[in-house]
Amino acid sequence: MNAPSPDRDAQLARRFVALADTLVDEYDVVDLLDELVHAVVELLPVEHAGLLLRDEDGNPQLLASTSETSRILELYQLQSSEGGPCLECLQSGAPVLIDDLAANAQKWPEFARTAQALGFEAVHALPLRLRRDAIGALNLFGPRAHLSDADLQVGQSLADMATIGILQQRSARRAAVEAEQLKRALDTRVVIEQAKGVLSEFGSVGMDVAFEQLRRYARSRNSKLGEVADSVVRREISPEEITPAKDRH
Amino acid sequence: MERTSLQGSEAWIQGRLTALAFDCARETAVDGGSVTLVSTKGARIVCAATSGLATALEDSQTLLGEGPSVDALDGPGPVLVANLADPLADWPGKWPFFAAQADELDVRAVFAFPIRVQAVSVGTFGLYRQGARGLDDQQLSRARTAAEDIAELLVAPTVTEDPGQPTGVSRTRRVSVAWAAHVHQAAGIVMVQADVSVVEAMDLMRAAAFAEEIELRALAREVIERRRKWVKGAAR
Repeated sequence: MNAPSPDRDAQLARRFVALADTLVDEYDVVDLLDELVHAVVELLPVEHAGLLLRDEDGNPQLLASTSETSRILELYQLQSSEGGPCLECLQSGAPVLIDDLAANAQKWPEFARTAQALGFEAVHALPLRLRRDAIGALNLFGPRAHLSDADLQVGQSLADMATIGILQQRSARRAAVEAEQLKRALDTRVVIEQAKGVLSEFGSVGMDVAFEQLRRYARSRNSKLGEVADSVVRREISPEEITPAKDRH
Repeated sequence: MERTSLQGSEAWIQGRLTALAFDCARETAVDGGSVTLVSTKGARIVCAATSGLATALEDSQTLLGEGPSVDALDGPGPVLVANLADPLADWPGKWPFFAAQADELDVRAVFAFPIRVQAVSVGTFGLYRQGARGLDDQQLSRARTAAEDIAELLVAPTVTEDPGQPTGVSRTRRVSVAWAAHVHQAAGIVMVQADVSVVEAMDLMRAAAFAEEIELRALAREVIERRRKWVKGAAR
């Protein structure tokens, strides 16, 4: 069943091209994941696919799914209390393959019963791998079936592609945050220089002394240098407060 | 052992930015290249320049508030002017003061590329040429690549000096404002002398530099050395 065939090779090529297309500039990771779950049900002997991704707090969220029925969602939610193959995959970072829920899911009886009631006889979960951790899991539901090595390879390749897409988007977001921080850091530096000028003029001291005064004041109040400097320049802190009498000339 | 700048350190970034500007200026056959970063509040900081010419033209845009780098920062793409004196082009009319300044320095062609990280405008990469010639396709693509490399460099992970850190990587970014630090110090001094806000102090300095046709940096130097003073209530 589903042995590699020229047909599947063609499908595979087409699907990978489509996935690569979603990886262009400013892509939406949701589009990529949606493309991915649909590719999986086309290429593997499964009926339904869903993708769990850890959010920033590490909690798994269902990000894409071939079907929107609330009963499918139940399958994921169930695992939060009882555990389940998808969560186990997420935790271990290794695939969890259950060819026959009736025979092999004693660990999660409630999950198995619900899945079977929905007409699924097999559940497979493949990790979205980042080094030794899983940032998410690709979950497959369908008729009783053993996934061949070729099936697993296809499934894992698709999962890896999703990982790349997700990481790329995360790194893009991080870079934008970095850039904003850089721009703010420049302002901090500018305002510190301005405050040095204010203190230097007020106390008739050199820039080095002015900076030392600013730093001492910030330290003694556990404040940030940039914040103190900003207050000085906005005249919220008077230079007298910062300049020790003995330093004034 | 020779002490080299740590990757990601301030000195390292400054060195890399300067090297990038030099390489690109040479390969695009221009006479000056510069990297100007712009802070959240709009302060322009020239943090790398290949020559006094490039610094002067970036500084004059800070002073005048107009020019190719000013326009490129938030514009849709690079600003390319092959000949500032071309009577058919509207550039001299668009930047009358900047064009006059460029003319004085014999600069005829100016090019400015936005430095963007994702959608964030971080600054501009400026190229200045004394001949009235545009960039050819190859030079244009070289300059675009340089602007992209600069953006990447500015947000690249920083390697810290702390060997105890398992990753050795932090994301604290520090780029020096040393080049123009004294201009901002001078603004603080004038703020106290004239009893005005720091923005007004900067405006006073700009107006004086413009009226006297001297560089803002030179004027700031005089302020710091107290060779020039403002008094409360007077324009200067």
